Amino acid sequence: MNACDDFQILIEMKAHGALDAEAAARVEAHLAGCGACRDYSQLVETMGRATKLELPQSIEWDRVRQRVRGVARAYRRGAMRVAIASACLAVLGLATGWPRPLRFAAGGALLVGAYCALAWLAARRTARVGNDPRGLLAACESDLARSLRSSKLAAGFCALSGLAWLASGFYFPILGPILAACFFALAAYWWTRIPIARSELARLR
Amino acid sequence: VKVVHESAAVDFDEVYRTYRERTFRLCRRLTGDPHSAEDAFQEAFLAIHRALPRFRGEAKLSTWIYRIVARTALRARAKRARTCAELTADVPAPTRADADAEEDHDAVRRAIAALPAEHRVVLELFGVEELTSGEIAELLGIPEGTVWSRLHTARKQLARRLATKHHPEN
Repeated sequence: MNACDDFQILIEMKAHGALDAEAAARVEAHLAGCGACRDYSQLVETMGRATKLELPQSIEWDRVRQRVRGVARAYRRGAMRVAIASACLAVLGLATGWPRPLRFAAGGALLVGAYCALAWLAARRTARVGNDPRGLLAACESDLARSLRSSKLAAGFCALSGLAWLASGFYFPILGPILAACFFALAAYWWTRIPIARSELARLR
Repeated sequence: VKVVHESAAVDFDEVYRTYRERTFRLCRRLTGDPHSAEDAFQEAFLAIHRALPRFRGEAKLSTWIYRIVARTALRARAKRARTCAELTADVPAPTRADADAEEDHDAVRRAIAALPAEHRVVLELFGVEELTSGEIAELLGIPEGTVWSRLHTARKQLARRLATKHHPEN
């Protein structure tokens, strides 16, 4: 790094108001006698103008806030309903000795419960973001890598579940194949997510 | 700038009112597109709403919020790049003769978008007027001195790219 590089960093600091008066005067004195740094200073100014960003006046802040609150409320209500339904199922199951249809419903409740647990874990992770020692890009990379792993896991899990429903012969020939088809469709969806997640990860880098 | 207290019992509405403009600007910068910015902004505040009751003030509230918003915006940008490439294939070239200045600005924006992520992000973050170099350093998890030198490197790379574009024979 040469002397001009050092001054150019000071030019950046001056442009962003991070220099005291004495250092700013030193930069001005250098600029008076250095063409390369004058060009650099000009560049900083031009780029500042070119990338200046005005926020649109049309943003409806309250509408956005209400939407965020609405989604959060709907999620809380949904989780509460799943919890109540699962408790009722458990009581009913215990009272009746877990007949097959109840086992089936309990499996569904478990899946939804697992989803809620994942969302709860995500919120816990978000709460700790402030302490994360990794840099911004490393953290994003890790988020996207996790999403890629999740897509692979979900595709595998759904494909296996589809096979399991087919093999179980549950209410064959109607309900079992229908459930298997649903799981295969989900597996196909997660399978298509894998290359998308891969390319998102590549684009971040 | 109004300061929101760093306690555990922070009110979401207060946080939203205090940080909405700055975080929207951050989203707009990092996504590079108004629609993705709006989506990322909502997604980020939804995550903040869910996690706020668990926030224990171990980090500065502003750092915590900026980190959540910046991560969401960068992920939104990675998602958007695909659809953007698909869409721009059909966009006709501008024909107005008086659009030179706008074209220059577009060239700068395109050159910024083509920079390596670590340099592009620093340039974009400095474009959010409300962010200080200290906040940018905290957000990126690097020392403040590194932020300035990275900004300088990014600016030089950008100048080189723009010069090559205008004078390809060099």
